[in-house]
Amino acid sequence: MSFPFLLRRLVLVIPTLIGVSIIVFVLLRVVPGDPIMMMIPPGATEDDIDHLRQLYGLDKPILEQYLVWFSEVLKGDFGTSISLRQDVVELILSRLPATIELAVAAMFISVILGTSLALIGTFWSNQWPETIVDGFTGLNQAIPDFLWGLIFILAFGVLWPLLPVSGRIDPRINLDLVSQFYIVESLIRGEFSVFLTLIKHMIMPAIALALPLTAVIARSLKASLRETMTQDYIRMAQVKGFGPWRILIVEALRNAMIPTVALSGVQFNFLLGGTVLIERIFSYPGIGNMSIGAVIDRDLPLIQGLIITFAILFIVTNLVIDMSYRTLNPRVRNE
Amino acid sequence: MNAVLDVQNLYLGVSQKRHYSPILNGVNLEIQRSQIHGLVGESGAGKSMLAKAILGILPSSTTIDKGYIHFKGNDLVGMPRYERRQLASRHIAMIPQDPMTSLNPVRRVGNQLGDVLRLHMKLNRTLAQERVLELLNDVQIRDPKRVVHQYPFELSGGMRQRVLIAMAFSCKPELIIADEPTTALDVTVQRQILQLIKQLQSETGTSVLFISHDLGVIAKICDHVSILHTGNVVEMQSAVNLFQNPRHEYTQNLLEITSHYYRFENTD
Repeated sequence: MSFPFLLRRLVLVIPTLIGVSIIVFVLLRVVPGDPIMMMIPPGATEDDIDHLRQLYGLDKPILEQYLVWFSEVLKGDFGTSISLRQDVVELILSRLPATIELAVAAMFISVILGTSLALIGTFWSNQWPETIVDGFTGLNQAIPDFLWGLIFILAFGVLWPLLPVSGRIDPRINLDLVSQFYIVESLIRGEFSVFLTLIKHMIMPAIALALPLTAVIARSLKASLRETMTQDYIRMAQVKGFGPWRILIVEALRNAMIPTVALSGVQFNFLLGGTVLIERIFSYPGIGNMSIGAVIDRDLPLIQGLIITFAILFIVTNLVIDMSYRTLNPRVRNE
Repeated sequence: MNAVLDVQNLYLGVSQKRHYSPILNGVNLEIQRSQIHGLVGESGAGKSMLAKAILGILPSSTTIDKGYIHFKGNDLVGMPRYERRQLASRHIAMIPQDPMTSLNPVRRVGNQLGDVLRLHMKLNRTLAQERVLELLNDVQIRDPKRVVHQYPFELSGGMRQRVLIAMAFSCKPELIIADEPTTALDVTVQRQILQLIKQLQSETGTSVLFISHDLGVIAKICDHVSILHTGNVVEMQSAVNLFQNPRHEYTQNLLEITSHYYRFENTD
C-alpha cells in the first residue's frame, strides 16, 4: 500500500464533504416545511414565532446561515438539535456505534454467504446446486431489504416467536457497558449472555440488510469465477495435479474477486442507505432511525449532522474497498 | 518394450448440439524413453486434442470413444479423475503454448513454483524456496532471488516461458508435453527456448512430446517424428530418415511446401 495514494484520497475527502454540506444546507431550506412550526405550542403569537426564528438564526439569509454553521462545524460544533434540545454531535455519537455494528454485521454476512454461494455454484456448475444458487440469487435480487424485514418479523416474531422484533437489547438487562459498541464490548469483557441477546436482536435486521447484497455478490462472483475457470493458468493447475477445491479457491477466487470487489463498493453504499428503513422497521436505535425522526421534525441541525455522518461513512467504506482492491490486484498496486 | 507412453487406436470426437464430429480416428503413438518425439500437423489436425487427452484436460464436450493411453502400465482412458491425478500429475508435465496466460497473474512466481514442489516432492516451505532458486537458475534466469518475488506481469514472455519450463522439469517427470512452446515468442527468443528444452531434456533424460506445425523447429530438436493428418498418424520415422526419405505423400508435400517457404523467406 503506497502512502501517497492514501494521502491523495484523504485530501480529496475535504472538498467532497464541503460539497455535501452545501447541497444539504440549500436543499433543506428550499423544500417545504418549517422547523419553527413544528416547535411552537398551539396558540403562539407572531411575536413568539419571530423570537424563535431569531433565536435559531433562521431569519438570516442562507449564505450567512451557512457561514455561521460552517465556522462552528470547523470547531467541532454541529449545533443543538431543535426537536431533542441536545448537542448534535453527542446525539449522533451515541447512536452511530449501533449503526456501524449493524452495517458491519450485514456486510460480513453478505460477503461470507455471497462468496460461498458463488463457490458452490461454480464447483457444481450445470448441476442441481447451481440451479439452487441461481434461484436463490434471482429471488433476492427481486426482494428489497425492507420487505425481508417485514417477512422476518411476521415469520419469526409473530407466527413463530423465536426472536425479538424490536430494539437493540432486552430492556430488562442491566447494562453496565461503557462504550456504545455493545457487541464488541460484551465480547471483550466475556459477557456472553449479554452478547447472545445482542445477537438475537441483530440477526433479523442484519440478514434483511444483507440478502440483496448477498445476491449481487453471489451473481457477480459466480460469473467471473466461471470466466476465470476457463483461463490457461487454471488448466496448468489441473495438469500439475492440484485438487479441484484448491484450484477454485487458491487459483481462481482471487482473480475472480477483483471485479466483484470493485462492484461491492457501490453496493455497500446501498446497504448503508438501507439501514434507514431497516432500523425504523426494527425500532433499532441507530442513526438511520434517528434520521427519519429528524426529517419528520424538520430538525435542520440534526439532519445536517446526520447527512455529514453518512457521507463520512460512505467515504470510509469506499476507501477501504479501494485499498483492498489494490491489495488484490498487483498490477495497480504500485501505480 | 521401452515406451514411456503408448497411445493405441485412439478415437476421439466433439459433440455439439447432437452433432458429432470426429477429431482423431485411431491414432497410434509410442514415445520412447529419453527421446524428444515430434508431433507435426497442420491446424485442426488434432495435435492439441491428442495432447489434452494425454494430460486429461479434454473439454467436457469431447469424448474418447475407443482406444488406450498406456502410461506406467495403466490405461489412463476411463480412469476416475482422482486416481488419474494421483498417478499421472507428477509424472506428466506440460509446457504450454502461451506463457503470457499460463501463470496465475495475482500470485508471485516463487509461490507458484514452490506449490508444485510441495505438492509432489513433499518439500517443506523452506526447502521448496531453496529448490525454486536452483530451478530458476537452471533455466538461466538472471537474479532468481528477485524473480521469485515478482508477479508474472513483471516478466517478459521469454522469462515466463523459462519459469514454466522450470515448473515442467521441477518434479523430474517422465514425460513432458510441449504444445507449440515457441509459437507465442519472437524468433530470437524461440531459439533460446528450444536450446533450453533440448539441454534440460538431455540432462534429465525426460521424454518430451514436442508438438509443432513448424518442420524447421522439429528438425532442430526431435529424435523421432510422427505426422498427424486428418486425425490419423500417417507416418512415424526417425527425424533423420523423415527429412531424407519421407514415405507418405502428405509428408512429401509438407516438406516441399516448407522448403519453398524457407527459400522464399531467405531471398527476402
